[in-house]
This record gives sequence, C-alpha cells and structure tokens, in this order.
Amino acid sequence: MVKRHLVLWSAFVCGSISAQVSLTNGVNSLEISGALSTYYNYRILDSVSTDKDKNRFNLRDAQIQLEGRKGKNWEYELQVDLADLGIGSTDPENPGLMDAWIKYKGLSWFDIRLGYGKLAWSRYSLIPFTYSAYWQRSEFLRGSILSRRDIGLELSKEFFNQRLVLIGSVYNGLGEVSLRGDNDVTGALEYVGRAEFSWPIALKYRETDDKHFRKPVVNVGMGGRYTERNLPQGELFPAGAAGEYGLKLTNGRKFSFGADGVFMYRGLSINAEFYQSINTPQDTASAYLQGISFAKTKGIYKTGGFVVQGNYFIKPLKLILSARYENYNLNDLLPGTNERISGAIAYQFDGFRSMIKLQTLHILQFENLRPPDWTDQFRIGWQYLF
Amino acid sequence: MRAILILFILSPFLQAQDVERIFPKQKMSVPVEEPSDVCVKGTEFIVVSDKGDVFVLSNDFSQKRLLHSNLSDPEGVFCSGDSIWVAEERSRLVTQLQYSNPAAMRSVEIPYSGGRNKGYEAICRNAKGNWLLFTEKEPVWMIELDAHFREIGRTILKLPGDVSSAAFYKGQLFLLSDEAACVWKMDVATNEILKTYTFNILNAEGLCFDADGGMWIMSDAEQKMYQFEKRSW
Repeated sequence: MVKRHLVLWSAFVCGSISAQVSLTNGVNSLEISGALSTYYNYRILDSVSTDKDKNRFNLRDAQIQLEGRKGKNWEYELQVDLADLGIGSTDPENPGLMDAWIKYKGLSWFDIRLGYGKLAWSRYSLIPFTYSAYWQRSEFLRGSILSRRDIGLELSKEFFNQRLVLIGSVYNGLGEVSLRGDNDVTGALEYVGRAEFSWPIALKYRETDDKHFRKPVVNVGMGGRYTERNLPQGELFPAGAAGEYGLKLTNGRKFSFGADGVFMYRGLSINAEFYQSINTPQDTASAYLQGISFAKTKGIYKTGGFVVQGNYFIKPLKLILSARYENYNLNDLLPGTNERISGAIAYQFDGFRSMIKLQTLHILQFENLRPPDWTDQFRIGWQYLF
Repeated sequence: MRAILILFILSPFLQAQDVERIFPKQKMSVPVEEPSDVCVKGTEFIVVSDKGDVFVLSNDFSQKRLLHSNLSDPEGVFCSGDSIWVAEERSRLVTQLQYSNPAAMRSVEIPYSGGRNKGYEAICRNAKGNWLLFTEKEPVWMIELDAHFREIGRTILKLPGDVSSAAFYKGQLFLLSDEAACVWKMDVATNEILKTYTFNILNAEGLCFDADGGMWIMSDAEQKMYQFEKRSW
C-alpha cells in the first residue's frame, strides 16, 4: 500500500512537470517561464520575546520571467515577482521587479546592458536563488547591507572562451529604491566593477555541482564598489534607501571590495566569499563613529564579513546536502560580531524545477547594534519552476 | 540498517552494467571559439560555433577556413556530399549550406515550443535516410523527419542526462551527453540504452566518427578535440 502511494505520488509530481515555453519566428525568440514557491517558517524565540508573527506560511515567489533574443546581438529580460509586486515591495532579496533590461552584444569590444537588474560584484548575489538549497541567502549578502539591484549601465567583456570575465558598471546607487524615480539630492552615482576567472572551463553562477564535474573546476572573482554622496546640511537619503540597518548608504564616501571563490568536483562544491566596506562619513561627529575620537577612527568605520558554504549533491538520490557558516560585523567600532550557521537539505523531484527544501538557521552570537529576538529558524517548502 | 547506510554513501559511485570507461589517445586544441558540434567531411572537419559561425578545419586542426557566419545559434551539424545541415537551437531552424558555394543557403523551421535554450542540440540521419533532430533536455525529444523535413513522429527519450550531439554510425545511433559525460549507444528499435561509454571530458558538445572507426568528442568550454582509438563501437 505504501509502495502504491509512493508510485502515485511520483507519477503526480513527475507527470505535472512542464518546462519553459518559447515562441520564435526564426529571428526573434521569446521564452516564458516562472517560479512558484511557498514555505512554512518557524522561529524559536529568545527567553524574553513573545512575538510569534514569523511563524507562518509565506508565498516567497510568484515569478513570471520573459527572456527574449533577436538574432545574435539583442537580448532582453523582464522578470517580476507578483507575490511582492502586489505589496510594492523593494525587499532587496525578494523585490517585486527583479529584472528589466536590454543588452546589445554586437560590438567587438564589450557588451552593453542597460536597465534594472543585479549588480555584478558578488558571486553569491549573482547566483539565481532557485538554484540554491536554501530559503534565505547569507544575511550580509542578501541586500540588507549593500544593494543587490539597481538601475544603470553595464559594460562587460568575456575572454578565453568565457573563462575570464570583466564587468564595469555605473548605477544610481540607491539600490532597489531607484525604482521610485529620483536620485538623492547629491545626484551622485555608484561605480561597480568585477573580474572573475574560471579554470578549466567557464562556470555558471551556481553554488551546487549538479553536473558532477569529472575534473575539478574553480572560479575566483573580485569586486569593488565606490560612491561618494555628501548630503547638504539637513537633507536626508530617500526613505528606505539606507536599508534596515541604515548601512546601505553613507553620507560621505563608501568604498567596498570583496573576493569570492568556488570549487566544484564530482558533486562536491565549496563556496567562500568575503567583503568589506570602508565608510567615511563627511561628518566626523557622525553617530556611526560611536563618539570615538578621530585620532582612533580616522573618521571611518568598517562593515563586512565572510561566508563559507559546502554542498554535496548525491545525484542518484536527487539530494543536496549543504552547510553554511557566516561571520559578519555591522560596525567594527562596536564590540562583538555576528555568527550564524545554517544547514539545508533539498530533495529534487525533477532537478531544480521541482524541489522540496528544508533550511535550519542558528544564531551563534550577535552584535548589540540590532539584536534579534530569536535564536533558531526552520523553513520547509516547495519550489516549482515552469 | 548498516547495509542501507553503506548503499547511501556509496550510491554516487555505483554504476549500472554495460558501462565502459574510455580514454582518449590524444587531444588537440580547436581554434574555434565556443565550438558546439562537429562532423567529418572527407579528410576535414566541419565545426559550428555558438557564435554563429561554420568553419572547415584541417584534420590536424592547424588550419581553419570560415565557411559561413551570421547563423543565430548553431548547436548541431551534419555533412553529406556537398551539403552541410546546421540545427539552430533557439530559432528552431535547420539551415542547409553548400560546401562549394557557402553563400547559397536555405532554412526550414521545425517548430518546438520548449525552453529557448533547450531546443535543438543535435542532428543526424538514420539508416532509412530520415532526419533525426534531438532537443537538449526537459525533455529529450527525438523528432524523425523525412528527407523533406516533414515530421514522421516524435518520441521522448528516457535518458539519465541531456543530449548534446548525435551520430549515426554503422547502423547504430550514438548520443553524446554533456551533463552525464558519456556516449550512449542506443537500440534504434526500442530507444533503450544498449551501452554507455564514460569519459573525463568537460562540456562535451560534439561527437563524430571518422571513416576508420575512430570516435571524436569535442569539448566546447575546453576548446579541445579528443580522439579515441579505432575499434568497433
């Protein structure tokens, strides 16, 4: 009886799978795809908190994606998440509008991309979420501290059969809030760059070795961002632009840099990434400098951290096992740091297209800047791509 | 319980029967960016590129000649006589070129509404002289067409991986898989796998046989051509 149920369940799950649909007239092609995902979230609160509003089902994704191509040289993409668009969300990890850009590849020196999309600076950020065994990205790379999407112009060039990729871009600098229209009163822009190298073959933005590479494959990258926004006295950044920690923008100069790497071989993959922001407020008495003397701070405070993640894809069992450790510091002038560990298990009914994911997250320690009211979090849900 | 645990741990390394590991006898650099498929034409090779180009390469890969450019996304190639047929993945076109007159070309659209980047990856002709077109994955369709590209029928192949190239050799169908890193020798009557040849090549995208029975596999990302021994496959 149990076996029959399993067979029926498998037949239902596998039989209902459908891939993307595309239309073409021989020159233009348009692909329609999307993603649906829902999870149940459960938190274990600390000893003094009582607010259990995060214990709930959550519709994470209701995405529609249109990807087009005209001939060899023109590409465009429009991706929206209806689950977030309806509430006007600019949540950096899960925004309503995810991509809206056009790309021209007809020039010999570089490709041009113009529009709204992900900033090319962090590998972790560039990995599509649907290729992850997790329900949540690493805290310091999910857009709370540095923006992940913005409106701007990107130039890129690939060398050596895509093994070496160079990307330079300029954006408004307000992140997802740029979608509201106006820049801040400084009118400044943000400059972003990234270089990455893969060997022996180019590597897509994935964190799991679902291909079970027969030879070791590595990718190393480095990125940087720079912006200077000196607000006139009494002026503020647009509401929400500085993010939930108030760290995404600095009234002054902000320079961020980081490096990342991934190793993949026969189902095993190890990902690592670190970054640091050096913030120089124009006001040497800024509250971010914690009242510490200029002689000690030199007028700067730093934000940054690192994450290490290991995955193993057991192909015959269609199972991804993953563990992650992250360590980040919201302000180096404050004592303490943040440490979190996560584990994830994902079972694939049909590759990444239909997958049950379970994630656990445990807070080892935290800074006093923004203490959480919980210690552990569990998420389980189903992701379905069409 | 212990047996189940051992099986769980070893499962990634277990392989089915009728599997043979093969080793190349030599490898050569392919002077073509993003090569996506290859076929043999006499003593030369015809190589198509993701960049939209069709090249003629000498048998030692030291010389190349651009035969045609400006195709959209060639992923499969087949040669016979003076003709070269190229399957284009995204545009769903099969384009016929003339070796002796590259400017002459005509295209036929073979509709397929699956994923844009999961369209036609391979083309070959079977023993009956009919065309076989293969989609890459999700699912792998084998579409049989007559000499005028009129569809005869289509079948979903149940394979443990994608299809990146196909070749018909001595009455047998061979399918190359990039993701599974192997070549499947297929039973043309049942569409079942008869034998699996595995290898250590990354991003294998092209497969062909020379007249002497040598198997050639081309890696896209490595820009390499691997030659295997002459034998009966």
